Order: sequence, then structure tokens, then C-alpha cells
Amino acid sequence: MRRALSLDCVNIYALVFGGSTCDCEPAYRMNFKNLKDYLAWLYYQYLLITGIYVLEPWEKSIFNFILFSAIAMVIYTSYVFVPIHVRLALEFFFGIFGGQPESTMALMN
Amino acid sequence: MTESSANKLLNGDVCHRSSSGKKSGKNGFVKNHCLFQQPQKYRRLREKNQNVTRNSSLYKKPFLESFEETPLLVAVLTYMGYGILTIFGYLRDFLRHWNIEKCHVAREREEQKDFVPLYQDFENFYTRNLYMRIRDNWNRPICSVPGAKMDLVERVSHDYNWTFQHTGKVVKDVINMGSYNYLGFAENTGTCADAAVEATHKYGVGVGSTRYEIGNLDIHEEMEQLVARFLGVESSMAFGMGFATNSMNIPALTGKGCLILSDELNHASLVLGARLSGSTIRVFKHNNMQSLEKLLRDAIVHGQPRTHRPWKKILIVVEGIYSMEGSIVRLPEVIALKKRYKAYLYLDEAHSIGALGPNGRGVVDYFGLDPKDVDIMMGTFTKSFGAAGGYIGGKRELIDYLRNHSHSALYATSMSPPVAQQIITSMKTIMGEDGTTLGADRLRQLSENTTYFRRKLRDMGFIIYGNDDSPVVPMMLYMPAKIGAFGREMLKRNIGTVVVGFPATPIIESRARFCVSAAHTREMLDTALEAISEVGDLLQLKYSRREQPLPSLAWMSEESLLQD
Repeated sequence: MRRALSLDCVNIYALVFGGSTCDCEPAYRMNFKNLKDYLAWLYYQYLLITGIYVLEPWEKSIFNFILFSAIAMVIYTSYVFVPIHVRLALEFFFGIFGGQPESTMALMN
Repeated sequence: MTESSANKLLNGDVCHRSSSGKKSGKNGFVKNHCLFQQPQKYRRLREKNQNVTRNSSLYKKPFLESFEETPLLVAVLTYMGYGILTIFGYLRDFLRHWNIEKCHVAREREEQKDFVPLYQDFENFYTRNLYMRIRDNWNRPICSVPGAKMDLVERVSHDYNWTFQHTGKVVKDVINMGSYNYLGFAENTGTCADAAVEATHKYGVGVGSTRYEIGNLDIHEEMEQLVARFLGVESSMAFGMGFATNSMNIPALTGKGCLILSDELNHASLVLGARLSGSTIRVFKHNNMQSLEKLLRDAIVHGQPRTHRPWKKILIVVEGIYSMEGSIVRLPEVIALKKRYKAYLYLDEAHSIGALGPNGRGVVDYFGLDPKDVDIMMGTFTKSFGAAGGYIGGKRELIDYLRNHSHSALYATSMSPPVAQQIITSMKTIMGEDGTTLGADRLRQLSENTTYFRRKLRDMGFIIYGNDDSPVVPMMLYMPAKIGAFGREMLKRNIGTVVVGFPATPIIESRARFCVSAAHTREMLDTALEAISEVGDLLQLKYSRREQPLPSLAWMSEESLLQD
């Protein structure tokens, strides 16, 4: 069970941090007792990679606040606008490739 | 005229050396009339192409050196980290400027505000806003002999490293992976310490005058003769400070109208000395013989700038082991070049003396060369000998000249007698003149430890720089937060390490540097390696992408030897 969990963890890590996990051999053999430990470790990696590990707590909160509000805004705007854009795009492409009206055919002839 | 002629020569097809390599003369003196260094066609391979030995005929054994390339993603993330920290640095500077928060560092006084700013350059910014945050990793007070294990004074900071308070407690038995104690002579017991105590009883500690005046003791003369014998040179001279040996003697050797060719990673003392001398300085790429040869050719072809008179002297300045890269100078090639182009060679063996070679006589011994081919042999007693100071060895005329012209000979107080005695005793031990094999044992132990430690780290998947035989082992950390985290996590596990960042290294190549010592036992190294591996997993430091090599036969035999 534990093994399965740590494998899953590794996969999530690979998803989040992309190529830093190489294909040849997983360099991380961390064993996590539970999900909480794993999340703590992920947060630690986030601190180290962004460099905010060395900052003072209030600076950390500023950074986290800005980053997460930016992500939240991206998600929100995509939730609001993406469906509209998709619909418009579909209509547009449908207009080009899709149903050509009979009349144009007639004109060409 | 200003266009370099050597460029063409370097890339041209004038030179056709047979791949078998022509017979080279004694000590690598090559008689053929083509460029000595083969042009290197394919610049960037996966490795930085340093581990490929060119001119292999000059080397008696394989010269294995590697600098694995920084993974791209790691480099990008490192720059991103520095970017974020810089933004916060600007924020803090802004707050300090408007007195929103208290400024702890030096700043201009009110009446100086309209003058040229004093604390605005990048290095000041870096110290204030990046270094200060992880300052607890450096300058930790030690309260015991810095041998294989040491005791640290515990200290805490309540204001994010601006000030420190000592708690009064002591962190006991920290494994010391940072001291330059290659042969383990930093001891407070044993023959060296006893001899030093005896010398203190006889001479006292202070000398109170310079060598030139009445500070010249018989113990100094004895030490210098011993050093000359140890190095295999005609004469030698010792100085009380290693850094000053470089920075004060290079100005005595060269002056205006001379050219200094300096490796780009040379130590600050060499750089300072070269600048003080007033000579023209040109810098060649680290350990890159093509670059050196090109500079030499250009110097000879063009002479001095504007006047085109020939240079009075050309001095090549290199180090034995480069302390930040762990690389060993390509001495056979440097000597061949020096002979070919009739330049002088200044070899700084600060780290390599005692630590390299079958007899511990430095990089010359390591390559099996003749010490007389190196014009100026410089080194320090600070590292392998567990003492202090530096020496210069060479021809008798050179040393006599330096005695009368070097600033540190004329003005510096001479070396403290117990220190001189420590040097004499430890050097005699290394040479086996004390009638024991202790010195040989230490040398063997050091090279075994080095090989073992480097191999283990590499197998764990860390990126390790440098030569396989160098006891300086730099391990790459890259990201700025990991510098601080690594030092702290290692100290939590009772291991003292040195972490290095900008300005001692390029900004993205932060590293931890381990110095292997003969005093380390196998158990200590195993403890340290286990902790390093654990921290490496925790901080994700195992960056290496090289495929793990199969254990070769050589290793097997070595392993079995170690088992016996």
C-alpha cells in the first residue's frame, strides 16, 4: 500500500515539475507515511525551487498570495471566457470548412 | 594587425599530427613544427568536453576530469529563483529607503546623499538581500581542533541573521567535511603538536622582526632547506602568510612590460598579485590549452600593444588543484607549451602540495615531471601541513632575488617558531624521515578516501566536478535556496560542510564543497555519505543524467584490495 502511494507521489511530482525527473532512474526514493507528509514535502520542494525558502514569513505570504491569486484569476477567467471563445472558434471554423451553402456551388458553376 | 593570426592557425590545416602521436622528448618537449594543441572541432558535447584527454602521449596515466553540463531545466529554475529573490530584494531596499523598516547595514549618511552612491552595485545588493538570509551557514565559530571531527559553538539569530547570539551550548562531534586538512595534520596531539610545544618553550611564539632584519631564526633556515629538499628544487623561501606569498611575490617578479597569462579561475591572491605588479594580464579559459597557446602565440607575434616591442617576460600563472572546481592543472601540456614558447611558469600548489602524488610532493610528483621545469613553485603550509604560511621554491638566483625584493620578505614579521616546527615535523613525516611509515599511510589513506568518496557520490547521482584524484570534491546545488537548506540540513545531521555561492562561483553554479582528509575513517565517510544521500533526496539534488557505469574490472580489483 505504502509502495503504491509513493509511486503515485512520484508520478504527481513528475507531472508538476516536468523534466527534472529523468527517465533513466528515479533519483527520489522518499518514503512517505501518509499523504500529509507527502504534501509537506511537495511544499518544501516548492519553497526550494522558487527560492522563497530563504525569505521571511511575511514575504513568503506575499509571494504565495500573489502567485495563488494569479493562478485563481487565470482559472476564473478561463472558466468564464474559454467556453465563449471555444464556441466562437467552432462557429468560425464551421463557417470555413463546414456547411458550404448550395448557392456558392451554383455561383462557381 | 590586430586580428589574431593564431585563429587562422588554430583552425587551419597546417598541422597534421598523426593520431598515434609523435615521439615526444623528455618531459613532453615536442620538436615538431606545428601547433602543439590540436584544434578542437566539436566544442560542446554533452559534457563540457574536459574529460577527453588530448595530447595523451604526455600523460603517464589517464587524466579523468569531468564537468557535467547543467541540466537546462535546473538552470532555468535557478535563474527564476534568483529573479524572485531579486524582486524581494528590491522590495526590501525600497522599504529601507523610505524608513519603513530598520536598515541594519551601512548606508550613506544624510550629508552624503547627493554624492555618488556607495552601496548600490550588485555585490552590495547581493550581500544585503541574498547572502544575509543564509548567512548562518558561514563563519560558524569552532571551539576545538578542526580535525576529522570538531565542536561547534551553537548560535541562534532572532532577527533573520542580522545578529547572532551564542546560546552557550556546544554542538559536539560534528564531522568536518570542510577543512583543508588533507593529510590530517591539524591535530592537538601527536608528534607534530609535541614538537610545536617544544619549539614554543625554546623560542616563544612571537619573533618581533622581519626575516631581513633580526627575525631570522635557525629554525627558519632549517625549514627552508627541508622545503627545498622536499620539492626537489635548489632553494626555497618561506613566508608567514600564504595569501601574501602570492600577492606580494608576483609584483617582485614581473612589472611593466611583462605579460601575465592567468587561468580564469585563479585564486584571488594570484589575481591581486598580478594586478599589483602592473603587468598586462591576459586570461585564458580554465585549464584550456588551446586558449593558452593562442594567447602565447598572439603575445609573441604582436608583442606589446601599440609599440609592438616584445614582452620582457611572459609568466604563465596556474594552480595545482583549483579549489572551487576540484580540477587538476594539465601540467605536462603547460610545461610543453612553456618550453615551446619560452615563457616562465608560476605554479601555485596551495591545495595540491601534500595532497597529490605518490610521495605527496604535489602536482609535479603526480604527473611524474621534473620540478626544475617549473620556474616558480609556490605553495602553502596551511592545508596539508596543518600549519600556516607559504613558500616559494625554485632556482637559487630566483630565491636570492626574492629575499631582497619581495615585500613580504622585507616587511612581514617572520613566521612564528611553533608554526615552523609544525611544518618541519609534518614534512619530515611525509618524507618518511622520522623513521615511520605514518606519512605514507596518510597519503595512501587520503587517496583511498578521495576515490571512495567521489565514486560513492557519483553513484548516488550527484553532479560532481573535477578530477577523479582531487581531494576537493565540489557537489552541485545550483538553486539559491538549496545552498542555505543544504548547509542547515547537514548540520542537523551533525556534519559540517562548506557551501559556496556567488561571488566565489558563477551565479548559477552554487555548490557544496567537501574536502576529504586522511583523518577521515571509513565509518565517518559512510556516515557523511548517508547523510548527504538523505539530504540529496530531501532537496532533490541528484541531478546527474549520466548513465550509471557498470562496475568495471578496475573497480572490482580496487574493492577487493580494500577488503583485505
